[in-house]
Amino acid sequence: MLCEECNKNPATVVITVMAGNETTTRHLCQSCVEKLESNIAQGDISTFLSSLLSILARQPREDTLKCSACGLSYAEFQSSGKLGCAHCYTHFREQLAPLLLRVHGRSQHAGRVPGNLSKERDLAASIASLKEKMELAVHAENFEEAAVLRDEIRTLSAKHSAEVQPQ
Amino acid sequence: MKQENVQVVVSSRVRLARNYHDLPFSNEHSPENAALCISRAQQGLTDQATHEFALYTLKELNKMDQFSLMEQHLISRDLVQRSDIGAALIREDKQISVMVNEEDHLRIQAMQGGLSLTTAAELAFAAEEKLAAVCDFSFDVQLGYLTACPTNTGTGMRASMMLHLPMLTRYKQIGNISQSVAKLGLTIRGIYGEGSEALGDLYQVSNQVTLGRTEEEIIEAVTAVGKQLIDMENVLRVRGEKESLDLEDSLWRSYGVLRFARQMDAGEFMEHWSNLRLGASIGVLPVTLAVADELLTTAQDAHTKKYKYAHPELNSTDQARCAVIQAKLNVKED
Repeated sequence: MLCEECNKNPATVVITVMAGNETTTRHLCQSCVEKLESNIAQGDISTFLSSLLSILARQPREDTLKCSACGLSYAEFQSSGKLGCAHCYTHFREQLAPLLLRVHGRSQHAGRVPGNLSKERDLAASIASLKEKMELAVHAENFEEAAVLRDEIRTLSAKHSAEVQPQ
Repeated sequence: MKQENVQVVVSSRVRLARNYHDLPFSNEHSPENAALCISRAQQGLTDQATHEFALYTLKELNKMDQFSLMEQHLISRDLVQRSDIGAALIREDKQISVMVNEEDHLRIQAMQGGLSLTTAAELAFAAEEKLAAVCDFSFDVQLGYLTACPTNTGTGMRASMMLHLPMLTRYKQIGNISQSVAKLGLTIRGIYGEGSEALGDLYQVSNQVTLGRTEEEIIEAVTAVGKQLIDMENVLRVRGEKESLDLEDSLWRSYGVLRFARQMDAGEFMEHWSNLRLGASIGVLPVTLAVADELLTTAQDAHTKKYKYAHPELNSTDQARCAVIQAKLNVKED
């Protein structure tokens, strides 16, 4: 792999920056890293940070990233602000996550769910609570009760997998 | 309490953005898909025994009629710009309007007078259920309802209130309010006019954030801010009434202009309209709030143009505007 900064020397150093939930990784060669470090040696932390940021800002993947369902490229989304189809959310998930977090401050939906999914969610919740009860029963060595609970879980799980129809 | 609300809150509105799960979003639409969205929406709403929704296909309407629907807030500017594929299903009483092939396949809007976001939400969700019965919507367990613009994903809900805040504007309080409202994930902006200008002192408060909060939380937040603004505006109105002749004078002057001017552009109208509505709500001017609110729609450009076409003796839209206003203010010409 070549250095992502000069594209000449082999990359021997990996820099990972974590900002909030966002992790960015860059592969650089020794000489480019030394250039960065010389900025610190001169006590110029702001030059160091800005050169680091400019390296991190280059996202070569995004230029070629496309949604395979509707054909919209990530670059097109960046200029229009509009996605092409529901599958774009899957294809650009990694890129959209920090954007969604910035706009909404949260990343997990908390509102209404479609009718069919809410039934499914209730079912999943009752399975989880039965499992918990079963573990408690096992812990108390109450194996008869645990067996009854296990059978109930099996019945519900079969019903659950029958109802889950991917949209 | 209801009366106090109406004096400041012109209307409450809830909008839901939804997309059918099996079609690309509107921007990537083929004409066939656009037609399919319209027929699905129509099936969802008009298969009911009541048949209370009327279909408006934009390309079959002239520009004047399109803009007239826009002035009634039944359709958006964005839909007018997509008039080749856009349509709207509007309930007879105009409390619900479903835009089809706007930025999202469906934009379900419910409108109510005064402060009543909860009622508006109930109406919107009832319509949404009927529409969902025809075809499932795009939904992701983590991201909620998926929308063309990621800023709407999650609940897909925008809860907004149209507020008339002439005194807060006069005392230059809107800037401060805007800052504190932003901290709550809400936004306040002018409804008429470009940029920072808020013609008619009319503002919209709405939620900015749609992901990670429930519909109830969003409605509560917007309602709470709305109530706060009502209180702040009313304090200034009471003070203004007691302390100064200036306020009363400016209200009567606007009333005079509205009754006797012979031509008026939309900008000037909005300026006087704000005084007319304030005068109506504090009981200074001999006008009802209902009349003032009706003029807010009927004296806008598209409506006055329509009026001009029906009255060939009128030479310009600005002249027609005065005729519309004066017919409503019940002026007896000598």
